[in-house]
Amino acid sequence: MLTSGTEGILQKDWEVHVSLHATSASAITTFKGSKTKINADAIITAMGASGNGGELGECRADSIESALADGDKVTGNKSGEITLNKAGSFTAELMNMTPANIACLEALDGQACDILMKEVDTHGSTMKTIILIENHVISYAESIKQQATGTITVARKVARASAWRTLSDVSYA
Amino acid sequence: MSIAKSKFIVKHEALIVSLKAQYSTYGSFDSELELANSSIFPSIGVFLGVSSSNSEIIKYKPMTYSYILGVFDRIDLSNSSDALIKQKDLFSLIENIIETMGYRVVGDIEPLTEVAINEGSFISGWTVPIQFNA
Repeated sequence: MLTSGTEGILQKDWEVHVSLHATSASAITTFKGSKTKINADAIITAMGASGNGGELGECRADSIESALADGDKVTGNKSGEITLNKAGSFTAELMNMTPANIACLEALDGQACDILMKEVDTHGSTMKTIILIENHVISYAESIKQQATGTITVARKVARASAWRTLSDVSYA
Repeated sequence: MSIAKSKFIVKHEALIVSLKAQYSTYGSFDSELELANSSIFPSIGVFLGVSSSNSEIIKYKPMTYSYILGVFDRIDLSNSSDALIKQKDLFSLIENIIETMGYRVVGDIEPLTEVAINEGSFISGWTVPIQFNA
């Protein structure tokens, strides 16, 4: 059911965690079964402990984006335009370009990964929004100039929003 | 009629409480006048700044709250090296506060040149705007 109001109109900052899908899959399954703070943090711990991922930081705040747009369309002779799929995309721009961070992202390039976005602050006093982008292939690109940046992107056409990401509010009381 | 406190004010009060707990040997003040009238130096100030709202919706909805963080000390105008020594110490202090408290800085740390506060008293220091999501 839709609710009207201004409760959801917020500026949110995000932490980004990333790792190979094989590393975090089990913890993600547990979280999906029970969306609690402990289970959300267990995913982050698994991602960080693996040696092939962890927290992507410090990122440019407004570069972190998970987007879902209309994908392919066909025009039916009676129904008009029908959207066949959704184009999901994720981008984050890392500014802390240490050799170790670059090597880690390079190793994830082209691999099926999980990305976890966690709200930095809380809203409604104790709630944090957690977004899981699961089992999609990551692409890594870099730009080394006065300020070096590394960008990870994911793009995939999916049938529906839920196949792109899992979005939930978790109590951090 | 009692009016509920705005989150802008509640956040400001919480900032002062946490600063007082962390930096108990310094004075911590929430307004310029309170700072000017006090005799506790060096001191830390967090002053009310800007509540910025989303102008794209009809209803009032604050998005970010900004405050002015400042560090101040009384200087001796008749001692030529006093102001510089205190400015150096205060700069280290403001950086320490930002790091320790994890504040999001949204402007440059700017010097406060000598300001008269009481008869014969001058203060110097540094200020920087800090921001929080509403």
